Amino acid sequence: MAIVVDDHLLLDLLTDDPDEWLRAETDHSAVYTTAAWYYRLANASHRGSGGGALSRKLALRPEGFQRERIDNLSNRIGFVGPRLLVPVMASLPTRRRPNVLAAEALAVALVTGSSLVVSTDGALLREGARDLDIDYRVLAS
Amino acid sequence: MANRLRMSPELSEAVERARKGAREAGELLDPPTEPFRSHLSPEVQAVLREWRDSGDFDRALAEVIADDPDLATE
Repeated sequence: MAIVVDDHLLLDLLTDDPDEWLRAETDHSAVYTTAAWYYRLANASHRGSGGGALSRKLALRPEGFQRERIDNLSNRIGFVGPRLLVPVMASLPTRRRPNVLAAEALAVALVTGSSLVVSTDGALLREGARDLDIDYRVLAS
Repeated sequence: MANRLRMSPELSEAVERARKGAREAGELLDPPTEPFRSHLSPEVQAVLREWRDSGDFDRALAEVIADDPDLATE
């Protein structure tokens, strides 16, 4: 059993604050995410106007906390590298052409035999998962 | 099933090649033997929760996506 989670659910896991279903699932399922979702989360952590940037909030903390960053992800979160993934992404026979984010998520799910678990329903990913017979679940984050 | 597309031979081959490569590279995870726990300290987790719950994460994410449609969910 394995799941691929999006950036919101990854953040829920990093804060030890997943919903009941996700907490139970991660007890027995390997957890993967994608480079695109990880990039969105890491990039967002460096953005934000005013006092909104996470990096600025952490910078106000003692030095030890600053080294604990989203950018340094736990080995419990799996990744599959682009050298292996891109040929799969390029071969996806979906009815609608997926963007990079959707293609990578579908490819990771196929290669790892995972379910896709997301916080936001999107037609590209939902329809691509249906086309490829990948289990697709939407959780409120 | 009628509403699903068949995996093409090209895709099946790419998936198998990727799976083999990922296994050899140690990128395929074994099922966990213990519950998932964040590697971050409680203090940093609290900062992250505040960032998420305040809406700052969603606002920053909207900026990221606006800059690059290939990172959009839709």
